[in-house]
Amino acid sequence: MKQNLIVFLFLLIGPISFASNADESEFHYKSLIDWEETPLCTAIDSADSKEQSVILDYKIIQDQKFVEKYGGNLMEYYTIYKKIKVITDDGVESYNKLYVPMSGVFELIEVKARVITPKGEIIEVKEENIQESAGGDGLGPHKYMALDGVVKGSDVEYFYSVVKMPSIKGRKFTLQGSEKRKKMSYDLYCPSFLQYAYKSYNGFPEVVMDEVDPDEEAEEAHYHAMKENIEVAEDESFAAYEANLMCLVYKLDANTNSGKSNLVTFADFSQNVYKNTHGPLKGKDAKAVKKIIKAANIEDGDSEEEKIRKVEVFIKENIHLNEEVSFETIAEAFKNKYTSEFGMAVVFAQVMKQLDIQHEMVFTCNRFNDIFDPEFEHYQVLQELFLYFPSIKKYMDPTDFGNRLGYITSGCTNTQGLFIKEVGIGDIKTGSGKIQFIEGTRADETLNEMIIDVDFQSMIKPVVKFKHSMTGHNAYIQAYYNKLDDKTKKEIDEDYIMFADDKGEIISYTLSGVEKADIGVNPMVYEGSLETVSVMEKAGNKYLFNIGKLIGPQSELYSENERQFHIEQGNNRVYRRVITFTIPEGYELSGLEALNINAVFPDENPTTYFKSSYVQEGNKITVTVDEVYDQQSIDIKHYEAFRAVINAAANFNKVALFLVKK
Amino acid sequence: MRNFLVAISVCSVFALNGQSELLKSYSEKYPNVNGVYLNYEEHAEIEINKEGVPVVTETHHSEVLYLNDNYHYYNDESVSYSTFVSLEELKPYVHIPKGDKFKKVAVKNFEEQHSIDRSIFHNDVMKKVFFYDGLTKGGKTELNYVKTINEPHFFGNFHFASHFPVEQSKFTITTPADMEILFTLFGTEKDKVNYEVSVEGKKKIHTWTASNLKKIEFEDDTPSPTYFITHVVVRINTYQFKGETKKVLGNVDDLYEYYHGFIKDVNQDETPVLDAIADSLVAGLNGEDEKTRQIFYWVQDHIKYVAFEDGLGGFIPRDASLVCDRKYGDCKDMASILYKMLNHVGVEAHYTWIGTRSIPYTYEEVPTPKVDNHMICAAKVDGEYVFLDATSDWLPFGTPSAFIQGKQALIALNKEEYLLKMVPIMPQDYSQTIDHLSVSFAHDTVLGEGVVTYTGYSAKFLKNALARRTEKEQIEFFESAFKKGNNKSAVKVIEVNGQENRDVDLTVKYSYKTPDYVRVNGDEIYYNPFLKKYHSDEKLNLEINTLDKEKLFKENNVNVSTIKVPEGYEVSYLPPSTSYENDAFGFELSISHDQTKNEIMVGFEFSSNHLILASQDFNLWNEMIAQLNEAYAELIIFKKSDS
Repeated sequence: MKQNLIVFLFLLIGPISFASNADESEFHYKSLIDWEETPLCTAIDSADSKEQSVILDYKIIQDQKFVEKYGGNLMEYYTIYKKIKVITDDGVESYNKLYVPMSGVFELIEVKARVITPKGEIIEVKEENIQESAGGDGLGPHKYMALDGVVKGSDVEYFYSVVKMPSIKGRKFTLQGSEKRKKMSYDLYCPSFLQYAYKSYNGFPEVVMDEVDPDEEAEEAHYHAMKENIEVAEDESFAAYEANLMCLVYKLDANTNSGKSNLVTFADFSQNVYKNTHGPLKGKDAKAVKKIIKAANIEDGDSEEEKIRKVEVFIKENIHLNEEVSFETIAEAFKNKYTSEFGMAVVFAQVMKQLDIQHEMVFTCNRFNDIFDPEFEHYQVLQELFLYFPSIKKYMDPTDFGNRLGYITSGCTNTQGLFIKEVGIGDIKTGSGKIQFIEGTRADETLNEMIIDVDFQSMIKPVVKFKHSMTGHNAYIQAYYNKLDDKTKKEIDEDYIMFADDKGEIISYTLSGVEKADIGVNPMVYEGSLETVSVMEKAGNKYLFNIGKLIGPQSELYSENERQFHIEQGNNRVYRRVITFTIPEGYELSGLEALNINAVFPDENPTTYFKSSYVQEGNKITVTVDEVYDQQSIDIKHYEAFRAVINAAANFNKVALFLVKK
Repeated sequence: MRNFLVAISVCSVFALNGQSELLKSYSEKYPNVNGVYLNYEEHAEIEINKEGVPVVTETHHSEVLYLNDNYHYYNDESVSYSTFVSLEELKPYVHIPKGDKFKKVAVKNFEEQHSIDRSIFHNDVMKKVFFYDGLTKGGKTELNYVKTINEPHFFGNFHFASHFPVEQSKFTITTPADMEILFTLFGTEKDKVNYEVSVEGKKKIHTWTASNLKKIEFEDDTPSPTYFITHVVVRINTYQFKGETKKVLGNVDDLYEYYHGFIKDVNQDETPVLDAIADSLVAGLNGEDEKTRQIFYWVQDHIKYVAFEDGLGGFIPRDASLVCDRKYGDCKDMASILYKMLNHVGVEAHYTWIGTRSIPYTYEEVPTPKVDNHMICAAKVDGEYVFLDATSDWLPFGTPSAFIQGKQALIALNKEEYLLKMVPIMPQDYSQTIDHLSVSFAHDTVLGEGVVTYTGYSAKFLKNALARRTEKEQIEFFESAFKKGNNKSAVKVIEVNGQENRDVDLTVKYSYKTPDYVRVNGDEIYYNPFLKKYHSDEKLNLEINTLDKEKLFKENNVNVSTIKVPEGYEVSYLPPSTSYENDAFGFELSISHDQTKNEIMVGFEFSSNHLILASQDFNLWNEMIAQLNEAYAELIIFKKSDS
């Protein structure tokens, strides 16, 4: 994830330097957490008896104060408290181990964990049994402990409080998940001259500030929100599950002491990004940029798009993404042949700048996970970084080896983004940001086409000649194909070729469109022939021709469950199938009418449809199937129409024709 | 964040028009691999320390040449170490090509990390992680390190082959001349390994060399790579110290003596709480059989598996009373509590070491700690040994866990005596899935009821999977598992029995309804009786599958459909019966028409009578699948009686 990038930018903004005044008062978590001396094991609510585990109480407490020990800086005492009712074996196994993340932690103030068994025993974790790990294999540093004595029906209760730097530029808390939450509360305390702005989504109540008596000068402000009985969120297909969960986001909005308000803006972010990606280059870095341009083989006559593509091919082939490192300099990236995500963006930006190719930096989040809300500017949504080339209206992902110019992760399209472009006069340049819509690619830019001819030389195992072409998002594998070993290539080939019949026997095939020059430009095409095994069924000299199977397996939405979320799809796309065959001599064909299917949404100028039909010329039958999805988000009120299109394809898959000897 | 400023000068990587001769020759020799080990060497120096303990210093040296653009997948590396194996020296280099020469650059930045294995809660393995900066196609990486093994029982093995082809590999051991080393060779290319021994002064030098080793293939469902990789396992038999002959690991007796040291001090204290639990569990029970069953199930239910691998803590079982208090433990902790509880109630029980099926050795072949990775409890029940593995959830009493079937167990009888015993392989008819289906038609819809019975391991694994789901998820699981005919199929679960009881079969009764499945053509109904075409897509592509395949257990699948001939119709075509059989696998498909009941019976039985499907049998397997698919293409036709 591009979180690293945000951290990087944070540091560049510099430390927060309000007037400091160490506060020695009690930590708020101590009064908010009711850590009873002798707690009783709670009874299982009958409504919960079928759950694995239920969160009885979950508190997030942020306690911010200026602390002398930390140079008078604003620090956050961050506390998580949870009490869980463990109901099944799986619940026991989930909660007999506890991990406390220690990334970015300056100090562990307190950690306590205990088990209250149904028999009433209270077993607390002893301090000497808390292990420490430096982290590794993708896990950050953490403390961990096993909880003794957890059995079904136990309550597991724990909290930890750590000192961190506060996140003031934008942070999200997801407040709903795969377990029921009986009580979910959020509290933040801070010096009263700091004002936070909040927004809640998907049904979590808005965070409010305790009213203070205007006559009394309160030293501290308290923000809070609480919700009881948050149900488990069930996943659905074609939905943005994560983005639909209850959550809140916040940022620091004003400092009444300094009189500054609107502290977190995209305008500041834009200027900082510009400074750190487009600043003047010196010595080795400038040389490295020139070397890249030279090695990319750019010629004077190249169009702008050709230049961009050449740069993209060269950089992606020669400087590799390494998520374990942080960016140093362009020269280092070039020499080491790897850099961080942010480093990749800087390399691209500086090369484009040197080539005088107009470009903008685009920041957004994946709409399947987060909500980019233009009404509430904060940095948490600025997670993913792309380049936008306005002259050719195309996006590029500087780190994705598979997606090339014109294609970016589809979850980051069809949503809003922050577009940062260069503005200024003469040599004084800066970045100016604007929220704009990131259009997804059109359906016809991601094509999956199969031209199939069925030859009934053998009635039981007819041979199909096929040409299977893929472009755009459908051809994502294109860039990687030649990096794979022979066996993996064969497996992938089989998957594509045996689309029409996964039990078939491949006779011969060719593959084109996987050379470096083809990536993102030319279609990836399999052409060849396949002896089918499961397309025909027979009884004596009567045959069933499962023509529907030739379009391959299809998604379905047959389930009648009530829909909860809006429809959210990845990229727009077209599936086109043309199937031809000649009725074998001496056979009678029937059942053709089932091939005529028409499901469209909306009725006028449809964006989403499945249309299939056939034409008969003498003994030759041509079946054409067009399945198009050209609208990424559809309101829940149109769910039935959308479902009809998806199911039309699934229904076509079941169509069979009769071939009976005359 | 890692800080990785490694001072290497930028060389003209892009000025390289031609490839170096080295790259050219190896690219021709290995056109489809990413890299080749030019050499792979380890040297072990064994010396006796002042206390008379052999200390092993292992020096590693290897060089890899990268042959294509995939070099960047290999630019990170790590070397691990732990309590018993310390890392003394680590010197990696990158060789950046310049024409036919290389510029050798030392790696300077290392990060220490915890080697986290998510299946183990706590371990003591650390690693040093680093990057080969500037690595490119035609470039080389060179890895050198020195490790010290301060516990001679954990020495030693050497792999000649790797994930890249290996040009030259060499393993040497230098010992005092009077030390005796024993070894065993394993792997598909062990004939390529040459062994020599020589004496130089007071030293004896053992040398194993091999060249041109193929790269190790990784394929789906194979036994663990240790079954294929060419490697040698070595051990110290004896050595002299102050005129005395010292034994290390010459044979199983020596290993047992060593292992017994791990268990001798465990469970020496009184355990009144645990004893009381054990007593209450067996109150009123007389037979050893029932007592053992109750205690085994209690441990299985109440002690959760949490793995610890930390120094000797990875070998010494914890006291049973501690395990009981904690309610969790690893395999040897579960063995410890079973041992204690069973012996308390008068059932003879023993600590038992065993290697799971991922380890290919017997104790006689490899009498070293490399032979095993697991501990269970063996109980003598009515004169017969029963292997109790409480780490395996929902395992019925009397059955070994699936992953130790056919393996040798080392049973600790007492200080001097042990027993080697083979764990049985459960026969195919132990684990069955039997589905009885009634079939009738409503226009193009097929519908009816089914009763599925799961036995043996099939039941165990399913019960385990169900226990990990909420009731809603369990229903969804069955509704999805029993769909048949096409994806419009809708299933309703009527009754589930035996889910909570390890000693009985699991049965599920359900109804189903699949629209758009039956084909009506004028007066005729076409019906394919194979609503589920089991194994139909299991043909093995011989270009992709070259290694043996492993199954967790032998099993039988039986499907019986009773099809009601629709009212007003008669049977006009019935597919033929067919079968395929050999020792390892086969099927039997029978179709008959019962005129009196006016029903068609379709019986299908598929037997998998093997744990290993040998690669030389893949052709036969494919023959069977082809025959099966031909059978699946057959339809039943019903015709209107009056037409």
